[in-house]
Amino acid sequence: MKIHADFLDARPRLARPLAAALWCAALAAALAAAWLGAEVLEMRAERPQLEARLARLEAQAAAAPRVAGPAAHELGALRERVQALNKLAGVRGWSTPQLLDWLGARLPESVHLVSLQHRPREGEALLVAESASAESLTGFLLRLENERRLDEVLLSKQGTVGNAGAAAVQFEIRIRWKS
Amino acid sequence: MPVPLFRGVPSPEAAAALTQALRAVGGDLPHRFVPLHVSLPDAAVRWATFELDELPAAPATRRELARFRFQRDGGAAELACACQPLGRAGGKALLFGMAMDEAWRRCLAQALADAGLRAWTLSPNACRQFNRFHDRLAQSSGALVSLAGDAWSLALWDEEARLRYVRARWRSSRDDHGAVADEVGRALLAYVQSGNGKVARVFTAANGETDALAAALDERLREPCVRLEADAPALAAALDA
Repeated sequence: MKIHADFLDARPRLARPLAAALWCAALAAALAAAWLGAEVLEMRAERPQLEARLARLEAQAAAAPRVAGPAAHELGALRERVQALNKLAGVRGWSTPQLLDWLGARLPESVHLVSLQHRPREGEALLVAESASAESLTGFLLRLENERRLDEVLLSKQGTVGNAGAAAVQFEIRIRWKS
Repeated sequence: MPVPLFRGVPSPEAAAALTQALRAVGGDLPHRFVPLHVSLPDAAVRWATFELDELPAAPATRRELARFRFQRDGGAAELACACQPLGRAGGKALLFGMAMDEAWRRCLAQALADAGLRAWTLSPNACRQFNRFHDRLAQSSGALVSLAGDAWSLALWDEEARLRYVRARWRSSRDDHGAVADEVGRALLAYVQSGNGKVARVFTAANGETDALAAALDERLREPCVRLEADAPALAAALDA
């Protein structure tokens, strides 16, 4: 049996794993370098084609007729007009057809929509719903409150219409969209 | 060396002389990535093969046990220890241990560092000789007499090539082959007569003095010893590489 004992200070315990890790890192770096080298060669091969394409495009650009753009004051006036139009068309939340379509899908059978005031610029609507039972209207109100896109659902007024034989309950509800 | 090494306490003069000598023999080694094996004189080392009931599992604990046994057997100096388990024999766990003066080990390590050298191993000459000729030596039990310029040693191993006994001494002169052979003969006789020791063959490795030492041993032993010589061309090629 050969004698391997010697008097040197014990090597650090992590020396071997560290050396192995460094060798692995060096191997990975060598592989990456080889891959990058291959990429460089590939890009170098593509370069003449790309340069020819660039030259062709530059020639096309040089040959294209030059059209003078509008003057600065005309551009300013155009910008103002566009801003005014954007202001007029600016709406928040849904459009009226979109709101009606959404209400049609969520109104219970026993609830009727009596009136609707849609204010798209303010991002709110005031609707009056009517039903023979307060429970149906309460259910409708809960559906509105559960809608994530609405910021506020407020029961602003509650009343009764009709005579004693055929009384109906009305809820006036204000809704506001999230900005 | 103008100052004797491994005797007493290392002095600054000895450390400086050792550094200078290492620089001289190191040549361009500080600038090369080669494994550097440093050999110690056998006589600077204390040797023992301990027979233990149980072998501690942790290498550090084994080393501490060896240190304790060496210090118990004599010597108050701080010791540097190295040990190696050798398996089991006769129901006992064998632990081969070596010890040297820690102050001299530090001195040597510092001198190596000052000379820009970094040792891969630091072990006695007898271990190097034993490992070098191991395949020839390990075929049966035997003894190896190693001779260096300043010290000699006798290493004995059993049938399974486990070192069981090592005796090392400083040399008294360059012409002490007869005295060395006398002491080797006495040690062999004592080992064999101890009851469980067997020595099938005796080898000698003494570099340029192999023939002189072998002749002295042959005069005293019943069978001629086997001369071991390093392969000079291969050694030179290895050193030149």
